[in-house]
Amino acid sequence: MAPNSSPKKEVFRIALLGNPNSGKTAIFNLLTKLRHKVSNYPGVTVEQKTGLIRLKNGKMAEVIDLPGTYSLTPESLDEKIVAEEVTKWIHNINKPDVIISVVDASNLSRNLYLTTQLTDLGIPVVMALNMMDRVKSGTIDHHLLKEKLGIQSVIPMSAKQKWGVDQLLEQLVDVSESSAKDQSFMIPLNIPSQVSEVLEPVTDLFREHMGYSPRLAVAQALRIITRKSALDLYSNVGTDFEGIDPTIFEKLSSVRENFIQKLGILNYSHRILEATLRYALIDQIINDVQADRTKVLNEVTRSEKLDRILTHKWLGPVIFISIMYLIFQSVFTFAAGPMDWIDALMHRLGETILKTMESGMLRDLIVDGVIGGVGAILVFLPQILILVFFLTILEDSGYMARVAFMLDKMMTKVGLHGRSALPLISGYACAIPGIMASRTIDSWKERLITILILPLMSCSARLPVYTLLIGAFIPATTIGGFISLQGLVLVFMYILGTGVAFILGWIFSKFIPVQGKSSFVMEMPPYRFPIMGSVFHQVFTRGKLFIKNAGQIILAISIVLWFIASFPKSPDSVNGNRVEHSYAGKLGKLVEPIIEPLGFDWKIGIGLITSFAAREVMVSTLATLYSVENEDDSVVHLSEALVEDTDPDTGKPRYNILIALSLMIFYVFAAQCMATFAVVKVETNSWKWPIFMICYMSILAYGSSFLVYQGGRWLGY
Amino acid sequence: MEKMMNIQEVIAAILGIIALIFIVKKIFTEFTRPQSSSKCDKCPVTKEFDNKAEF
Repeated sequence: MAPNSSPKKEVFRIALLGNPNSGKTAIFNLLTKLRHKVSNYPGVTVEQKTGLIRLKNGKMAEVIDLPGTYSLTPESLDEKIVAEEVTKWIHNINKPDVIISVVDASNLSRNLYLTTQLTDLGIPVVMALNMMDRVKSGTIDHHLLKEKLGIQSVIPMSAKQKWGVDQLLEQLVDVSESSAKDQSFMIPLNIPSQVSEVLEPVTDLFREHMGYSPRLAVAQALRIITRKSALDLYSNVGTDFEGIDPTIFEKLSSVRENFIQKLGILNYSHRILEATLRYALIDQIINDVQADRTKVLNEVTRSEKLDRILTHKWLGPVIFISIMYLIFQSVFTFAAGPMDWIDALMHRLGETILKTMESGMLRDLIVDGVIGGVGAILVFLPQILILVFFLTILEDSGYMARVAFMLDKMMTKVGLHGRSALPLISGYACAIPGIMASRTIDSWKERLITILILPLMSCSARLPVYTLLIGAFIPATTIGGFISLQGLVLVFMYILGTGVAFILGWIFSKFIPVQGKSSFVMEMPPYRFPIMGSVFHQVFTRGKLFIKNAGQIILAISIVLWFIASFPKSPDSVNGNRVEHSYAGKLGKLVEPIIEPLGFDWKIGIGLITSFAAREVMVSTLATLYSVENEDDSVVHLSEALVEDTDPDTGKPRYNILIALSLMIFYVFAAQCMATFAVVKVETNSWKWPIFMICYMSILAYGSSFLVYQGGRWLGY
Repeated sequence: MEKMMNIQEVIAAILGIIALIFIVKKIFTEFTRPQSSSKCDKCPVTKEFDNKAEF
């Protein structure tokens, strides 16, 4: 099967490839002026992203940012995405006109492995020698490097300090205008003659049946021999490439087996053959181009010194918990002022409408439903922003990668491994990107368990519920004079979710059959001062999403809820509790017997139903219900309304600290976010797992709340 | 005044219907979103989840 000729293209295609954490996305953002997430740990990009730019010669160019990979031999799902794409390029499908190989200058040896693989593809390669700010000037001879690799050019740059991008763009213009697109590799891989001989049947198949160049045939032969996953790419890689002729595939499988046997006789391991050959070549290149390899290690050494403290066996976890406590405490402290401002603004808005608008249904809907519901949620925006700000700082500084390292041992014990740590930690902001980030986990079993336990990590949508209840019912006192009780309760909710997630991970690992155990090798990024522009962009993105949610689904739910809480209009005799006799009240009363053992009443029952749209809807639901119930022409303070609400039969407060704890614990475990389950369905390609997730989380939430509430009552609270 | 109240009721009812349609549509689209590939939102799922291959 000869490669097809390339379709006529008008847009110049540029593919960005590089090792994880080499700064590909930062360069992508600089080239395209887009703002995709960048951070200081491997595996931030788990999907292909594209952006359009106009080059200086007027040509339109499409820039494709692919997930980071150490080689073109796939192990994890994100690496498979790259390998599949490259296989298509080999067969002239979506083939880029140029590849930008992004290389971390401070770790040249490891990064060149991928670059040498890319040079085999017959596509012009421009190297972006990134992170040059971390390398002392003069230590890398980039002109010689270009020569040795036989590539188009090597552009020293720093995406962090934003220099070198213009030169990179100029080089792209040159390539786009050049007609000679092929390049020659100056130094070939030094393959021992005995190996070369036994490799011949495989390379012959590639050359004769697929029309590969001799160099590409050798490269692909080495790749499929290293891992069967590389061979499997030829069976089917998706919509554009249906795979090769099955008979040739069978032949390839057969010659692969023969080759592995023959290599064994020659005392070579097929798994490390390509790596051995390439690193021999890379060492030779580096010896020529790098003046003093020890000089570039200064920053790494500084990071290692810090790591001795921050990842210490005992000190490390203590420091981590202390940092998390400080973050959650600052969520309370720093957010208090802005929250009061937003609250005051909402009340002023409500009162203005009450004063200026004729009384009527629309006015009630706006004040009680829209401002009451949506306003109650918007108040929590500062807390969300502060939490995301600190979490992003920890990610960008490189600290979160250390947390993954510290958690590795614990993860292994519970059937996971350290690679699950970063998706789980990103679940603190939102479960959905965490589930997407689990694509970096190569073992399906470990990935599935990570996805299943990920919603137990308390996401930022739970924060409004926690802080509303903590603010209303947990005394604002300190323990030992400096540890805030409210902050401690908040940290406890996060620790509870995380701890139970690990226990369940261990239980699930006993029941989910093993389909390959993956190894955890993670590059430890050096500590860096976070790129503040990127940090604020993350905070802005999260804030925008929160406001968008409030302005869409929460607004819609608040409006519908206002209607069902206001109708049918109750007769005067039951005017005191008119919501109770509304459709919403009847719905709440319907579920009340089920949730009564948890200490919840019909109002919370309505909130639990509406929370399936998004967890924070509980707050807007309660706010709407109290606003509708309030018969005065005034705006309700939700926190006060909860504390002051009394049971008309007993005259006692309807809610207390025990009910608040029971409800918070319910929220730690409950299955409530439909967007999460929709993503789980897509990511697992099955309804089975989201349904299982909903079932186990619901049982867990109910059981835990039951224990807390009934246990508390038994103890006399 | 009477007329004003009627207008308010009509507008409120329209808003209620729009909100209800939005919620139903949102739930529908969440759970019927096409199975997309991890490569991009527009690509269909292939065998990327068949991670059982021998390595």
